[in-house]
Amino acid sequence: MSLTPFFAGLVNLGFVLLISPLFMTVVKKVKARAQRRAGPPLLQGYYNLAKLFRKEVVYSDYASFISRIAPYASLAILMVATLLVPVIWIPDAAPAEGNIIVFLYLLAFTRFLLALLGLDAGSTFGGMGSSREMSLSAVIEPTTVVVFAVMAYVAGTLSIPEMFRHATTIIPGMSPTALLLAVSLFILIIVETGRVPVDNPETHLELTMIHEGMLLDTSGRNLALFELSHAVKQTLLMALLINMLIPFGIIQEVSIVGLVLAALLFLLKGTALSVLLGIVESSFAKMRFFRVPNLFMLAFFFSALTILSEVMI
Amino acid sequence: MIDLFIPAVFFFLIASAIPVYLTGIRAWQCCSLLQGLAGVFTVLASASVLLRYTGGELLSTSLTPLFPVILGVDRLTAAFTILLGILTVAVCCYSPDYISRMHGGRSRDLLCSLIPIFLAAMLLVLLSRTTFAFLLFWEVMAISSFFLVLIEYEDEKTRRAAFFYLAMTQLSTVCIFLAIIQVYLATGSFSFPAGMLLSTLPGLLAFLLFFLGIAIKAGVIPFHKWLPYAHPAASSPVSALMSGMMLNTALYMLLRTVTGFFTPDLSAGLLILAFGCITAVLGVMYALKEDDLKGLLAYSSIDNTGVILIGTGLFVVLTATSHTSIGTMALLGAVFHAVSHGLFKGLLFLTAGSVNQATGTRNIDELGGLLVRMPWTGGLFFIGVLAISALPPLNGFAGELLIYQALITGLMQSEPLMQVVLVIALSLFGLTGALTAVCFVKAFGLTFLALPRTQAAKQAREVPTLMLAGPAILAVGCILVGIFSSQILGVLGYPGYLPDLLLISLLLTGALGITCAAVYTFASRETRISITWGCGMQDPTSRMEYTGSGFTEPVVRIFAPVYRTRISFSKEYHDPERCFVRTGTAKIELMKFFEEYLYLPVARLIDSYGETVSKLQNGKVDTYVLYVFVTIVVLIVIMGWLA
Repeated sequence: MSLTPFFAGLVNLGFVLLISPLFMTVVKKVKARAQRRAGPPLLQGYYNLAKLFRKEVVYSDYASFISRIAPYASLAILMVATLLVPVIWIPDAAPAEGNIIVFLYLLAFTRFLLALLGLDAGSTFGGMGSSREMSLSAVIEPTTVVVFAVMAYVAGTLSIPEMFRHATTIIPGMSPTALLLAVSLFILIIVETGRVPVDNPETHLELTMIHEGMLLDTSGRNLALFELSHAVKQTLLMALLINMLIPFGIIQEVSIVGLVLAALLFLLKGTALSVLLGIVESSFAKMRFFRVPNLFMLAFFFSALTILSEVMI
Repeated sequence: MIDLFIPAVFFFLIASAIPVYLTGIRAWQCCSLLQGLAGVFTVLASASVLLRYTGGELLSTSLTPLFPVILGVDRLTAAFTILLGILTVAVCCYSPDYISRMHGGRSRDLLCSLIPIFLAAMLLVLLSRTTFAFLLFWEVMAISSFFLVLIEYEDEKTRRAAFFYLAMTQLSTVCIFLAIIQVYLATGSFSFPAGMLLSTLPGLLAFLLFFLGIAIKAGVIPFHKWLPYAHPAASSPVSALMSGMMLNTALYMLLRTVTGFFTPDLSAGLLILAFGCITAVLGVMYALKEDDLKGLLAYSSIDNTGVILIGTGLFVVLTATSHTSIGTMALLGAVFHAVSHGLFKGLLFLTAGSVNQATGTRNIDELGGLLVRMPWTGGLFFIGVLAISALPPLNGFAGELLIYQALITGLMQSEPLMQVVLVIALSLFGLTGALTAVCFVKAFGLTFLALPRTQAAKQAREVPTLMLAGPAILAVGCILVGIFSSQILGVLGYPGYLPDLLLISLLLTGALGITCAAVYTFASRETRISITWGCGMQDPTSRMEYTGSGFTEPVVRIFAPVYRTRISFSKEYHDPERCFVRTGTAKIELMKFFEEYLYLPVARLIDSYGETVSKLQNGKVDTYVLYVFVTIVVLIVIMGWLA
C-alpha cells in the first residue's frame, strides 16, 4: 500500500483547518462593506480562535458528559469528513471510498451532538435552538439526499473523489447539469451553514437565532472548537461546490508546484464564493422560520431538474 | 446444524415449566438461566450455519401424514435466529431483577413462563419449512404474545390494548391461513411454494393475502394501530422481544415470500415499496409527536418496518427489472437493517423499562436530568439512540447505507419512469432518516439531559447491575456489528457491498484523540462550574425548559397537513368589548386519522351487522328448530336444483 493517499489526506486536512476561519471572516467583511462599515481585518477569525482557546470554560451545573465531549467529537467528526472531500489533492483512495452518504451522515452526526448540547444546559434558548435546527435539518434532508444523488448520478459514482475526478474531465461552465447542480448546492451551503435568509449568524435575538442558540452556554476552548468545526463544515461544502463546478487546478499526482498552485487557486475560488455568500447574505432579509421550507423546495426542484436534463442529454 | 436448535427449543420448554414448581425470585432466576442457555445454543447454531453453509439439512416430523412439520435452516433463517439468540440472552440478564421489582403476584410467574414459550414459538416460526408448520407456530406466537401483553391486566388500558392486539393478530392469521389454502390449492402440498407466478390468479391472491397477513403483524401503516397500544402496555422485556423480534419474524416471512415463494414481479415490488415509504415516513412522524417514551419507541418500530420494506421492495423492483446485483444490495440492506433494528430496539426498550421502573413514569415531560442520576442506563440509551439515528459507524447506519447505495445506484441505471419512482423513494427515505434523528434527540435530550421536571425524576436511582448487563450486551452488539459491518458481509460472502466502517471508526477515534491532546497541550485548562445563563434570571427552573410538544412544534407546524392538528380555544373576557381576557383554554389535538377513517367505520359496520344478526336470536328453542328446518329445506331445494 502506497503512502500517497495518507499524505493527500493530511495535506487536505491541514489546508482546510488552516484556511477555514479565513472564509468565515471574508463573508463578515463583505457584509460589513455592504453596510458601509470597515469590517474586521481578514485575520480576525484566527485572533478570535486564539483568544477563545486561552479562556476558561464555564459549564452549567446541570451539564452532563455531552457538554464535555461534544465540542471535541464535533471537530473530530468533521476532520474525518474532511478526509472524504479532497480539497486540493484528489487521492487514489479515501476512507470509506469517499462515500457521499457517509459524508452526509457524518455531518448529521455533528448536528445531532450539537442539538443534544443545546438541550444539555437546560436553558430555554438552547432548547429553542436545537428544536429549530433539527426541524430545519429534517426538512432540508430530502433535498440534500437528492442533490447528492444527482452528483452521484452525473458522475456515475458514489465516491466524492471520483466525482471530482470526473468533474475535471468536463469543460467548466459548459455543462447545464453542473450549473443546475451548483444552484442546489449553493442553497444547501446557505442552509447547512446557517446563513441569512435561513438563520442569522450574527444575532443573539431569541426570535431569530438557531445555530447560535445552541451554543449560548458554550464558552472558552469549547466554543473555539465549535467555531472551528463550523468553519470547517462551511469550507467542505464550498469545496463540494467548487470542485464539482470549477475543479481546474486540483491535483491528482504528487508535485510540489502543483500543490502550491492548487492551494492558491482554491484560496482564490473559495474567497470568491465567500464574497458571493456575503453578497447574498446582505441582500436578503431573514425569512420567517416557517417560510424556509419553500426555499428547500426550490433546491429540490433544481436538483430534480438536473436529473431530467441529464436524462434528456 | 439443525440438531443444535433442538436443545435450544428443549431448554425453552423446560424454562416455561419451571414456574409450575418454583415461585418467587428463584423461579425467575432459574427460568432466565435456562433461557439464557437456550439463547447461547441458538447463537452458536446460527453462527455455525452462517459461517459454514452446508445446506439441505432438514428435520421432519409429522403430526399426521397429511400435515407435515418440517424444520430447516438456511442463512436467511440463521441471520434472524442469531438475533433471536442474542436478544434472548440480553432479556434473560435483564428480566429477573425487572420482574422482582414489578407489581403483581402470581401473574409474574406466568410472565416468566410465557416468555420462553413465546421465544420458542418465534424460533420455530423461523425454522419452519412447511406452510402448515409455519401457521401452527405463528398462531402459538400470536396467542402467547397476547397473554404477555395482558399480564398487567388490572389496568383498563392494558386490557383494551391486549384485545385490540388479539383482534388484529387473528386477522393476520386469517389472511395467512387463506394464503396457505390458496397455495395448497395451487400446488397440492404444504411445502413452501417455489417460484409461483403473480400473473396467475391463485398466485396473485396468495401473494396479496400473505402480504396482508404479514403487514398486519409487522405494523405496516395503515394496519399498525395495535402496535402503539400493545407495545407500551406490555412489560419492557416483552416489548423488547415483540418489537425487536416478533416484527422481524413477520418481515422474515416477507423476505421468504419475495425471495422464494414468488418470482419477482415489478408491480409487487412497487406495492411493497409504496407501503414501505408510507410506513417509514408516517411512522416516524407519529413517533415524533409521542410523549410516552415507550409509545415513541413503538412508533419508531413502525418506521423501521417501513425502512425494511423499502429495502425489500427495492430488491423486488430491481430484480424484476434485471438489475440483480443492486437488488442483492437492497436485500442485504433489508436483512441487515432488520437484524440491527432488533438489536437497538431491544436495547432502547430495555433501558426505557429501567427508566420507567426508576421513576414510575413514561411521560417524557415528567422526566429529565436522568443522565446524571442514572449514568449507565443513560449511556446505554445513548448508544441505542446513536444507532437508531443511523449515525456512523454504528449498525443502524450500515443497514441504511446499503439501502441508500441501492437506491442511488438503482437510480443511475434505471429507465426514466423508474427513476421518478426512485427519486421519490429516495427523498422520502432521506426524510425518514432526518426525522428519526429529530425524534431521538427529543427522546434522549428531554429524558436524560437538563433538569428533572418532577420529584420522581429527581429521586431516580441507577438500576441493579444485571439490568444493565442485558442492554449492555445489545449495545456492544450494536457497536461491533456497525464497526465490522463490511467485514461481516465479507465473511458471509458479500465483500465490497459496504465501505469500510472500521477505518472510519479508527479515524474518528484518532481524530478525537488528536483534538483532545492538542487542546489539552495548547489551550487553557481552566474550568468553572456555574449556573446556566438565563438572561439574567437567577436559578432557572425546570419549568423554563423546552417540553416534548414544544420541541416538535416546528415539525408539526411544517407538516401540518400530515398531522391534521385541531386547534381549539375559548376565551372569556372581563368587558363586553372583548378587550381584557379573563381566562381561556387552548387545546391542540392530533386527529387520529386512521382510527377515524379506517378502523372505526369498519368497527361500526361489524357492530351494525352484529345487531342485525342478533335480532334473529330470541333464545327460544322453537325458533332455532324453525331455522334448522328452513335451512334444511333450502339446502334440499338448492341441491336438487343443482343436480
